[in-house]
Amino acid sequence: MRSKLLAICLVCILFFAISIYLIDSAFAKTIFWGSRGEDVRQIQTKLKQWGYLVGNADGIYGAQTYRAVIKFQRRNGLTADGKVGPQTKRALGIRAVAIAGKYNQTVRNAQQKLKQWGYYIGAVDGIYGPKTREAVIKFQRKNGLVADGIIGPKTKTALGLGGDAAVADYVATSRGVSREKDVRLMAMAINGEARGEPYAGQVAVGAVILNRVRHPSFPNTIAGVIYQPLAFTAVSDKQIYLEPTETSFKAARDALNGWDPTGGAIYYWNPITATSKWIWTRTPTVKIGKHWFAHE
Amino acid sequence: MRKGLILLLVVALIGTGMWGYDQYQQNFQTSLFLENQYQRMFEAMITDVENIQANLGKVMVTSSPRKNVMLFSDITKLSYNAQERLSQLPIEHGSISRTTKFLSQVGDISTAFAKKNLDGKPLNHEEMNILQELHNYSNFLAQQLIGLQAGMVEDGIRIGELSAKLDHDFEEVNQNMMTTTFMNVEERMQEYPELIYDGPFSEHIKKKKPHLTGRKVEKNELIKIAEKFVNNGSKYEINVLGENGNARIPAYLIELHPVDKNDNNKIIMSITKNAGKVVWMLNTKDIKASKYSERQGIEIAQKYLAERGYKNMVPTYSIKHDGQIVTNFAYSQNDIIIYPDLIKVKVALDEGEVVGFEAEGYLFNHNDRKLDEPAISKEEARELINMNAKVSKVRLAVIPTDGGNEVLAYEFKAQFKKDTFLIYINAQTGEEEKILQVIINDNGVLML
Repeated sequence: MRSKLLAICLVCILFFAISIYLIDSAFAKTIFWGSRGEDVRQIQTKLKQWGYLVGNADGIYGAQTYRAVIKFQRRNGLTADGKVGPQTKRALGIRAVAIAGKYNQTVRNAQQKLKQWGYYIGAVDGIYGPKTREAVIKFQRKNGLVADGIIGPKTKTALGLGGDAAVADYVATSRGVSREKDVRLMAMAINGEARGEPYAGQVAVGAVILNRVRHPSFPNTIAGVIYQPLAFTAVSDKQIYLEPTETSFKAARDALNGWDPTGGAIYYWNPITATSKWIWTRTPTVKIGKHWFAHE
Repeated sequence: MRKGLILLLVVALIGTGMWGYDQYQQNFQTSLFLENQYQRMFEAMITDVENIQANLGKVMVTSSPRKNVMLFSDITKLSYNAQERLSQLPIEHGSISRTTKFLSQVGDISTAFAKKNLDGKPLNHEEMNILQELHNYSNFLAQQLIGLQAGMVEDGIRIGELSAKLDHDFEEVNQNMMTTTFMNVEERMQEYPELIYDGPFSEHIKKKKPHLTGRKVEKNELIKIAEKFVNNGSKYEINVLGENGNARIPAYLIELHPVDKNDNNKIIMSITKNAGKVVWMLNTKDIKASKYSERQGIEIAQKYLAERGYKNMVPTYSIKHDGQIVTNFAYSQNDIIIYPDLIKVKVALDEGEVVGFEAEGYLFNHNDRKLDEPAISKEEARELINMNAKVSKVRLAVIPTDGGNEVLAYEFKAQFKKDTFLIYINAQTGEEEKILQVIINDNGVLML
C-alpha cells in the first residue's frame, strides 16, 4: 500500500519534471545542445550571416551549431559556454520580440499587413508561427531585405508599420475640395444659354451638361463639356461670362443634385435660332420653353 | 486752308492705317496661337492612338498578369487623353461622336480588364477576340489620322479655319479634308461590335430595364396622380410638356399651374408611363428666411416619404443651400442599407414644405432582393482595413458597382487624422470595393 503511494508520487513528480522540462524547452530563454525549433533556426541564420556557421539552418542545435556559438561568444567577449541566453541573443542582434510563441501586437500588425498584401494566409492572431515566418520571409525576399524571418526595424518600415513622424501637420482634404466651382461654372453656362427660360428649362440645360459628362461621346469633365468648341453658343458669343442670376445658381444646384427634367437628354436646340444643320437630324423627345431636347 | 485739310486727312489716313495694321497683327497673333494649340492637340492625339493600337497588340502576347495590368492602365490613360484632345478640336460633334465614344469605350474596357487581371482571372477567348477587334479599329483610326495629317501638311490646311467656316456653308465644310476623314472614320466606327463588360460605358447598362411594373397610365389620369402626390389642398391645371420614351424610365413630363391666379407656384413633375409613379417633382416657389432647423427638415422629408408609401427609408446624408435642405434616403432591408434604392427629398426651411422629390434610383432599382448571407464576418472584414484608419462604425450595405451590378459589403466609417472615409469591404470576397471620402462643410456632407 505504502509502496504503491510512493510509486504514484514518484510518477507524479517525474511527470511534473518532464513537463517543466518540456515547457522550458518550448519557451526556452536559453538554447543549448539538443534544442530545436524556430529559435534555433533564427540563431543559426544569424550565425550564418556573420560567417560563424557553415551548413544549413535546420533548426536543430547540433555539434556544428555548438562550435559556431562558442566561436561567436569568444569573439564577442561572452562566456563561451555554448548556451544561447539573453546576452548572447542580444549580441547576435535577435530581439525577443516577434519570436516568442505568445501574443504580440507587432506580430499582429505584421500579419494583418501581410494578409492584405497576399503574403499570409491564416489567422491574424498575433502569434508568430511557421506560417507567419514563411510569409515574412517571402515578403523580405520580394522587397530586397535580408530574408531572416525577423520583423525588425527595416522589415517594419517596408511593411509600412509604425512611425509617421515625417508629416508635421496633416491638412484636412476638405480644404482642398470645393463644389462651389462646379456650381458656378454650371450657373454661368445655364445663365448664358437659358436665361429667361422657365425654371424647368434652366435645370434641363444643366442636366444636359451633366448627361454629356457621363456620356462616352463627350468630354469627361464639366469644364470639358461646356468649353467644347462649337458645343454651346453662349461660349462662342461670350454670354457665358455674364454674371449669373440667382435662379441660374439654384438651377445649377438642382441639376448637380440629380434633378433631370429631360430624363437623360444629351442635345438641345432652339428651333428658331439653331444654325447647325446636323442638329435637325436629331429627333426631339421633350420640349421645354423654347428648347427642344433629344436623346440620340 | 486747303493744305491744312489735306494734311489733316493724310495724318488721319496714316493713323487709321497704323491702327488697322496693329489690329491685323493682333488678330494674326491670336489666331496663330489658337492654331498652334489645335495643332499640338491634333498631333498629340495621333500619337495617343498610335500607342493605343501598339499596346493592344502587346496585350495579345503578354503572359504575366502584372504586365497586362500595366498595359491596360496605359491604354486607359491614352484613350481618355485622345478622347479629350479630339473633343477639344473645332470639329462638329456629328462628325466625331462615334470616334469619341470608341475611345471612351476602349479606355473603359481596359480598366475593366485590368481589374479582372488583378482579381487573378485571365481573359477568356471571347475577350481576346474583342481586344483583337479593338486593335484593328484603332489601327484603322491611326492610319486615317496619319494620312490626314500628311495631307493637311501638303495642302497647308489649318485647323482653325474649320470653325470659322462651319456656321456658314455646309457644302464647303463637307469638302474639307479633316471633316471628310472623320466622317469616313465615323462610318466605319458604326460597325464595331457592342462591348459588354463590367464598366460604366458598357452597352448592357443602357439596355437595363427598370424593375418597375404596373399598368399603362393614360394622359387623362395624370392630373389625378399629380394632385394626389402634391396633396396640399390646391387645385391645379395640367399641361403635358412631353412624353419621354427614351428615358431610363419612360415617363410623361407635366407642368401644374394653380387654378388660383394669386398663387404662382408652378410645379413640374415627371410620371412614369407604367404604374404612374412620380419620378421627380420640383416646386419653383421663392424661398424666404429659414424658420426650421436642418433636423426638422429631415424629419419632414421622412414623413413625406412615408405618406407616399415609401417605407423603411433611412436618411444617409444631406446638404443645405439657398434655404433648402436636400436629403438622400436609402431603402433599408432588414437593417441592410440598399444604396441603389435612392430617393432625394428637398425641403424648404422657410415653411417646412417639400419642394423637390427625386426617386429615379428607387423606381429603377428597387425590387425584392434575395441577399446572401455574408461569407466573412464583421471582424474578418475589419482586419482587411488599413491600420492607419481608425474604424468607428460598421454596418452592412448593398452598393452599386461601376458596371451597374450590386454587391453586399460591410460599410466602415473610418478616420485618418482629419479626414473621414467610408470604406466598403465585399462581404463575400473580402475585396476592398470602394472608398468614399466624406467631406463635411457648413452646408452639409459631400461624398468624393
